[in-house]
Amino acid sequence: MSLFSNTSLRIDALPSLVEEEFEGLPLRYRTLRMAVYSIVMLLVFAALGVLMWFEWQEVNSFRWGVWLAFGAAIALGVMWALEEVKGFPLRGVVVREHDLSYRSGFFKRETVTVPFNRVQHSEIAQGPLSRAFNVCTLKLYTAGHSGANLRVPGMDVERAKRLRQQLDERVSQS
Amino acid sequence: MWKGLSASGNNWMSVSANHNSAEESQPQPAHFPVLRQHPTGVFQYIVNYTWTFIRGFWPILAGAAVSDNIRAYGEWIGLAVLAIACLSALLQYWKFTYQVTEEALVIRRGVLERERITIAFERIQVVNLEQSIWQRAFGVMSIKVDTAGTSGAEVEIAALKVQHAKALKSILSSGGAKVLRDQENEVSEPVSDSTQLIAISWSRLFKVGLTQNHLRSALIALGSVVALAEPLEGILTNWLSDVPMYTWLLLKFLWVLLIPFFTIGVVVIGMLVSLIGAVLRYYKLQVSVQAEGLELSGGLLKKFEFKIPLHKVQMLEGSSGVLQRLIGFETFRIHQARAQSEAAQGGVSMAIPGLEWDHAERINAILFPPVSGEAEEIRPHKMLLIRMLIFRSALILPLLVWGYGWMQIVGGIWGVWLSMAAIKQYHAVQLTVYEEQLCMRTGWLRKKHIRTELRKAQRVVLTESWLMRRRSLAHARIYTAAGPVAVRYIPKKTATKLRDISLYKAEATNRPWM
Repeated sequence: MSLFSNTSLRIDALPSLVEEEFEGLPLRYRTLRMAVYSIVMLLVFAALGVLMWFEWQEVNSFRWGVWLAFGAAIALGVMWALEEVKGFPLRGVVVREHDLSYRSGFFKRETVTVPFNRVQHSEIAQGPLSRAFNVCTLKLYTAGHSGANLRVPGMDVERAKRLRQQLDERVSQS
Repeated sequence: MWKGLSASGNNWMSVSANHNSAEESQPQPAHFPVLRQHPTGVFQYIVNYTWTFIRGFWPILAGAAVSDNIRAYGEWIGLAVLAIACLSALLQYWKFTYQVTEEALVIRRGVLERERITIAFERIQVVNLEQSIWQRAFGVMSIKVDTAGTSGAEVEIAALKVQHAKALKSILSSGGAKVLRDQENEVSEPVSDSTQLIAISWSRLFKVGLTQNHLRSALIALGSVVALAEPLEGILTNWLSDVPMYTWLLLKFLWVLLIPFFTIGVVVIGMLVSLIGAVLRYYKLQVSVQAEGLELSGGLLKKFEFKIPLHKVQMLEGSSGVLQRLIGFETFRIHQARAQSEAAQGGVSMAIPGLEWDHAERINAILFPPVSGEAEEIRPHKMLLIRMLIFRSALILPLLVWGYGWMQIVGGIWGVWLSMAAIKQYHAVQLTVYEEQLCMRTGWLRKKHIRTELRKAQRVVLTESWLMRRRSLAHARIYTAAGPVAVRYIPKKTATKLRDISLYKAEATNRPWM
């Protein structure tokens, strides 16, 4: 317990996380996401095409199940596209003096904040695809429950490394 | 604190042939002796191995029991398994050593792959001593240490002489404040400044047993009866065929009369089971507060001693059923940071049953800073209720549409009950934010409240779906190392305010939080 106390704290005077302060992710990451999107969609529709071809060979028409699958694939494609196009500008990080926040999602928007002094360790992960685009995933782990507690995918590698270094310095000071 | 990755820095060293020389090459001060467990640890390992074998291979075992060919060699197979279990237990025992240095517990273990685990005392969340009934016969105890590391490092020393175990516990839980000079001298003398908080007497234990959830106990009893009935099928059919024929005829018409007897039987069995369960678990439960932390001990067949430093308590959960509220009892549960998310997976979480209101307040006052400042109450928006109702009616709807007459009636009654419960539950949800504390209340028949300190927050998540955004609502989740406090469907402004204040509290302090 410290002797110093500061009781009269006004909530309005607290530093607040401002939505406008979020910095977007590099556009390279959007290209990567688009590539993944088109590959997955290509595969889905190719599979559908095969299914329809067999169906046509067999009964010379399409039964309702095929139309259902077709509709579901299109709906999925449209929703996902909306998420990518509308959602990408919303993806972003804010690094403040004491914490890091990550916002993402169009249909379900999520803002995760982790204070630096609660971080146990950090990790920079990079798969072959993200290496090609020179981006990486920054993961911050806190204590207790397993799993990364804050994942920021699609960060610029240089920026992630700098951030991590800052984190290290902060911790060695305290 | 940054470098020590998870709580235990696991050094994997694979040693080829000569273990001893490799171990001696480690820098190792001579005055910290390398110790082995009590020999009864071997038994513990044998039991563990056999149990894991049975659990892992039970479908095969069950298949084998049916086939005659394999049954003929049953004894041999059993003996072989036992032999393997014994051998590996012996090896494991032989290769397990521990060492207490000035600030860490060093454990070396593993037969094929040697593992060296160093646990710094300050990283230890909880020390738990356990003594099962056969261990008591040998005067040994097992000690469990939870560190809440990311890799799930929970370490168990299976068997130690009671005085050694107690001495080790006091060293481990002191956070390295005092160093062990001589283990023999530190025989479990209670520390002078310990104050006893709660001691459960027989009458209180009886009351606790009577106010458990009897329905659940009855279900457990029923389940085990069904499980037992399967192998005893032959005996049962034999026995039933002896019952004279006219009994069945009578039963055919008089079964309605048996319903009350059956109900009373279920209630009595449920009560008995919960009474026995309560006595087994909470026999001689004692809670005391010492300078280093909170200590719980008790148990009839399996004794336990559980110790946690005060500042490592993350959450205090109180819950009370209808019966318990009737006599003013509450069950408290202490949550600490832990590696596993579920208590069932070997994680330790301690319950203190049968607390009256003033006890509860005292525990709260010990664990957390006093409640001060103005309290702000946060309640969820109506959308939560609407969502609950939609989900529940979706559950009932198929029954009403496709069911027969009586099913529709039952479904209707059930639906009314569910909606009433939803309304009551919705009104019970309430988050109170004090200057330092959070208190989340939920539940209608079974009331629950979770208390935690604002500064224990280590991650804050705000979520808003597309529909919620139009009404400017949000979910707020404040994660501590022991789990989240979640409020759903609150105004976005309140949610951001909650985030700002908990982040501020967490970031502005340098006091240890776990």
